[in-house]
Amino acid sequence: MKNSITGAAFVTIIGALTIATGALAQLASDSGAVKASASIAHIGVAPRAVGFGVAKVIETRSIKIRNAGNIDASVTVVAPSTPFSVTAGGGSYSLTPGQIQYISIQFAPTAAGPVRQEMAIQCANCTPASDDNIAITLSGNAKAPIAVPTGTSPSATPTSPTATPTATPVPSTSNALPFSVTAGSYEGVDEPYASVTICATGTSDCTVVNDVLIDTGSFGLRIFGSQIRQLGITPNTNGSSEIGECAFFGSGTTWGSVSTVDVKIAGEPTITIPIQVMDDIDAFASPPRDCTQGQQLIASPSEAGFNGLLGIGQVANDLIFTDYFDCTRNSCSALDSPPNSDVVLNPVASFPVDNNGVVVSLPSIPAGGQATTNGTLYFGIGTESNNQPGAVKTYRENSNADSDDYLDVDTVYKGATAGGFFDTGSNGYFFNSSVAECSDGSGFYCPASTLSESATIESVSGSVSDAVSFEVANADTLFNSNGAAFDDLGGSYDGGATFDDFDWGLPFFFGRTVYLGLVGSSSSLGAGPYAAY
Amino acid sequence: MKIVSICAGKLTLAVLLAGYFLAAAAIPARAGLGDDATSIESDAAAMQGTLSQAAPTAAAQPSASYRVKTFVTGNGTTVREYAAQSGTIFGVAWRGRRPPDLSRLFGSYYSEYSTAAANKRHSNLHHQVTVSPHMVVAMHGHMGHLVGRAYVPGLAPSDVDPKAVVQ
Repeated sequence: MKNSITGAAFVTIIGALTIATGALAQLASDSGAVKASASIAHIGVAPRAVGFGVAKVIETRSIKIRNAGNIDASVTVVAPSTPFSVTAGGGSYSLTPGQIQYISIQFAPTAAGPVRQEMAIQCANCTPASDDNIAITLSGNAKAPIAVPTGTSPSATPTSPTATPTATPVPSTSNALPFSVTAGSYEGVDEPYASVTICATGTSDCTVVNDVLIDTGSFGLRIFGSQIRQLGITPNTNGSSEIGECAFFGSGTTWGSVSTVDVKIAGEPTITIPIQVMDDIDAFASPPRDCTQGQQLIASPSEAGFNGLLGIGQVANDLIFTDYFDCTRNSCSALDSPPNSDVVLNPVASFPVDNNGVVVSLPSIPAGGQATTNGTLYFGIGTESNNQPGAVKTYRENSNADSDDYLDVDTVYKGATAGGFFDTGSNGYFFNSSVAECSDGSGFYCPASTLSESATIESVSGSVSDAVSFEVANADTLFNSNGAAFDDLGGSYDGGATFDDFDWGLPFFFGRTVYLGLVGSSSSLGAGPYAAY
Repeated sequence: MKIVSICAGKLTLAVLLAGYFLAAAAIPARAGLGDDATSIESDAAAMQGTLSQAAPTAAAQPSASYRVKTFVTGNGTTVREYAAQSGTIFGVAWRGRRPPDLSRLFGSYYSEYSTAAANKRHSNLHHQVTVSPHMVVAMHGHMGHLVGRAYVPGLAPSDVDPKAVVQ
């Protein structure tokens, strides 16, 4: 219980809020076991005033809502107007008893001078009636405009499929997870963010984690410990040891415990699965040298640009790609064969239904990009009315798990053939080319004028192919614009001069509905792994 | 606090410590970028790998100006080291499911890399390019599919473009 905060401790914090009834007073003394005789919802909200001071950059602050009652609370966050916006935790949703939700408020001044505004957090079924409409005072000042008026406010782009005033819309269908390609809390570019709910197993102690990156390039759910610390989740144990895990990505390595939790995604049934709790709060053993290998750790949400990773790629678990460890507080040793119950699972493969793949759908966006573009991740292929493949071409992928090209299609660029893969967790088209790189050493491309490029995607078996035309704009220009969603962002794959692989990152998904079938599953499109669009 | 895993092996620990003390004494580290090609064998050994015994392919040895040696680490990652005729290693590249030991491969340039990388945000999960005063490091990869290359332009033979050859 190194990183747990007990329910009682939390009630002490919330206890600053007036709890009027006797039943609630009892709750306050024992939130873990609800004994109240009256069935009520009651929300604690803090703080009630949020001051941003004199902002020099776009600033974000959090407000905490907790359901201190013993039935679900129906909460609506009424979004403020420019220059304030809700970047996470907005919209209408239900909070279970004890559940905590954080709302991120962004201040992006569009003019010099002080501003003051009230926003509201409403509870439709709460007691006392004062919970119906809780006013939050927002204030800030600026010496100069920081954002242009059409700026980064997600609510300024009313394209939400569910018309809720939020960056992360509330799901409307059980297998549909809305997501937003938006700057979010971390100034992301071409990063698709969604929300997932994590609960301590078998309890109603839950929290909604926002800004979770949807990643078709990895397998398993990974959440930073700071985002779920209030749930008191502990590492899974193996005898007297605790299970640790190390996962490797192009930009670094994630490290933390394996913990089995309840996960709620969209309207799918709750699943109880092991996840990686990425340790950003020193709640777990330090990463062993075998884990870091001299690589950089992806150590915190602000470094990573996300609060969690929703790895919904085409393999059911991460066992062959990651390293597991037996850990005590002070040291870890390799665990080559972790118990099955401790292997981090791809949530999609763990659903009772809708488990044979995913569908990623994003609308087309204008040249020059958008501040926010909303898309939908559907679970399952051909399992529901909303995930039926229409007239698509299906590209078989390499199914040899021992191959360097596992899960790749073929891609031909300027006459050379290499592997290609479809990765929502990559924020550009990444391929080695002679296009000029930006001067900042980021590896993105900065052509003097937008280039029209073409590459051909081919099935690894059979003759299905598609010549894909795409554009590569000057990345510096894009980054200096107000957008966070671009379909023309590109960069070098690995800094080489020779074309070796093609990473069809998020820009590829705009204007397309892409079907990705899991290894070992099948659908009307055939046996996985495959990509179809 | 630095935790060294039990399984890391005494050899790795010993090499690390040796590298540390040598670097501290301002003597080039015993392996990796900047060191002599004769150290590649010890790099391979430290990563539980063995040097490829196969004859170099034409593609791998396209120039009289440099040589390439390849080994596969104990966890299956292919590593290539590029040495000038003088013997100085100017580039390393890798491809596999897990990263190789960068602190060893980068030799005396590792601290320059780690300082530069620590100042960067991981703004793209699957992609990271780090340019520091003397070296370029580019890494890419989704889970199970990691590639990377690092080179020191100042150590490359004058007729060799390291960006083009280190792969």
